[in-house]
Amino acid sequence: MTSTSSRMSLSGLVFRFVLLVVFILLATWGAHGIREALNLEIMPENEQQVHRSLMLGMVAYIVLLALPFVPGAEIGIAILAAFGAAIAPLIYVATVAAMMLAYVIGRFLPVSALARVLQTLRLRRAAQMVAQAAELSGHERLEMMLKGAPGRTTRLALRFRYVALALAVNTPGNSIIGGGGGIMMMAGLSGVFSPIATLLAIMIAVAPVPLAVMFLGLSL
Amino acid sequence: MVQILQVGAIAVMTLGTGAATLAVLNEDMPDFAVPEGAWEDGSVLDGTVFYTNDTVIETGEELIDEMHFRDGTFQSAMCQVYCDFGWSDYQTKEVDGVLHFTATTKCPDAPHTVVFYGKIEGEQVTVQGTWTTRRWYWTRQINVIGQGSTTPTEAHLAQSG
Repeated sequence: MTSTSSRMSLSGLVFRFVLLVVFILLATWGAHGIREALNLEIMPENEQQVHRSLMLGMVAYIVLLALPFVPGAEIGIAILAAFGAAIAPLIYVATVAAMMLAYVIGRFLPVSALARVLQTLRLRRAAQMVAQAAELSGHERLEMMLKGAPGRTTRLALRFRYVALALAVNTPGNSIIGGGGGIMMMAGLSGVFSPIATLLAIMIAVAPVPLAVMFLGLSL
Repeated sequence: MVQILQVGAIAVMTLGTGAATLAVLNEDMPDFAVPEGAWEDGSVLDGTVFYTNDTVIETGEELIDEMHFRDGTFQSAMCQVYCDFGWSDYQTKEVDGVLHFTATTKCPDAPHTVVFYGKIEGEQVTVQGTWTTRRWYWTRQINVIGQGSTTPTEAHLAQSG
């Protein structure tokens, strides 16, 4: 009986692994398909339009990424897939700028005003999160972010908060806890993250994907 | 007031670091390396027009061009379509009976630099060069090779209407 169930769990694991590989292959094929369909070969005749589109796209990317619960990293990866390694430095800088924008908003905008803006944007979950944080002190706000985590984890996260911030921003699927923008906004709100150390932490945290694409020539 | 200054300081710090990062990571691509030699200001090709068929090496795209020379200056009709480069100075030199020419043209409205280098034997010309675009966030380059003569082909006549 045990042998049968372990065989089933092994076959289930293999099935999931194969499914993951198929998904990655399909996603890669899809990204290349989109790239070819958009005919994004940059030539003299379209360079000006591509430049304008990129500048507009970057502004939208920074604003979207700074908003809580917006999976902005995926937008960045899509742009990387479309334009390749050459665009990696710009994506990197835009991502850092977006994270710092969210941090500045969280740190300096009055909490009630921020909650109203998010409510107007119909980002109800984000507005609720900010409204809750408004009534708490700095450390209580940080603890609110870590609510549900075991005490030891909380203590570790508080002690190594910049490492925790970098990990949280990098964790896949973090959009369910606010995304990069939401996490950085809460970091700003908490008042326990200093600007210079936060900038350094974010510069390191968002570096892996763009730098891997640029230096290792990884294609998406 | 203090808060505005703090926001300003963080913005300057972020943008400054971003600009420095881009300056380090944005790798420049040199323009076409024209062979050195006894280049002289151009005049011997004045009044000449070469009709060329060019190929973009990166994409395989075929292009039709007309290279005009007058009053010591050069103009590529194809480049004029994409940007008003105007007329640019050209240089020539002769090596073993073969006339070489080169011209560097810059677009006044966008950061495009195009370098041409050609060899002329009789009425035949072979050209190569680069079109480099240097934006603040990236540098793009295409390489072009081509050949032609002083006689237009049907495709050139059809294009010029």
